[in-house]
Amino acid sequence: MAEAFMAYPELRNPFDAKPIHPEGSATVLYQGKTITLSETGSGDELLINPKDLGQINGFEIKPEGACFRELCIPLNDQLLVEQDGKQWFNLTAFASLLGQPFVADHEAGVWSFAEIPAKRENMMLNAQAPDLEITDRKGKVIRMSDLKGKKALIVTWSSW
Amino acid sequence: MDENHLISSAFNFVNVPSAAWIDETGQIVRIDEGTYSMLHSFGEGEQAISFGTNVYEPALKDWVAKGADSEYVQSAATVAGNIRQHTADQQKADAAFRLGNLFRRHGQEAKADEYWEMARALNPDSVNFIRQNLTLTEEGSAGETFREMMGEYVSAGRDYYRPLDIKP
Repeated sequence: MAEAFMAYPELRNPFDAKPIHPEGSATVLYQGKTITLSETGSGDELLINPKDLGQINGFEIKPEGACFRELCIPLNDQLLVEQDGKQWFNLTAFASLLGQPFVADHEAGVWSFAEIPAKRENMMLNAQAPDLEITDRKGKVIRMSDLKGKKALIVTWSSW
Repeated sequence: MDENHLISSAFNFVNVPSAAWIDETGQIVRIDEGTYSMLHSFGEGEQAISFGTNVYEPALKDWVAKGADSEYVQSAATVAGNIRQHTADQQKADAAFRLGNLFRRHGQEAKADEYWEMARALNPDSVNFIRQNLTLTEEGSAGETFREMMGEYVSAGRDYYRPLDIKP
């Protein structure tokens, strides 16, 4: 099956090879967003500047912990790490704590994260629509929360 | 436009066409059904095939007109029960697939293949992954490979689309 995917490279490679990010940077994929981080700590764990957490997954560092709305995860020595005199937030340890799967390509410096399970609890338990956002064909960002106040029919058709 | 399958991941859809109805408060009132708008018929005699249904569109119109009073609105408990559960491996497959897409956009074919194959290994039943990958072959997303896969899927007695819970 996999051979079939690679049988016609001319159909599947319209892009010129190019770097994913400037040298020394890292890239995080989360819920359709591609975030380039200009600084990260060293090692196999993804250590980010705590200020970058919000743009990745909406969590903020507060005195009570890493918080998203009412959900706060207390910080500890595994999540806040000192390295070379600088404080970093360990995003991969945070993901493991939340049960959030991820895949890393260390060679390229790219981490791809699945959805945070806790953010979907309202859907799985109470059938509340998840607040995802996607970009339409004209580049406009559509958020599910923008549709509140109207009935919405979400239909998928040949999204590949 | 949704090459990373955010919609199908968010609602745990299996294939197109699938739909969710969401009311004015953000409550999902139906989810994950084969949502053809009409019965489609092709061929004649032993070659004849048909798929789809004529009952979905009237039900949808009834909900639009009557809102919460529509007989087709399902309770939160029913909807929650109809959401397909994804395992950690299936969620990890989403992350791997998106990583493959990133490498493809940057012209790094070998890396793209590595992560698409990881995604398929983690979630071999994903119709989304295989059909999107098949668009990159000459046979396309609805060719022999796809039909063979679906034949095996259905003959194993598994739900492809969730059965449509709307009576004619």
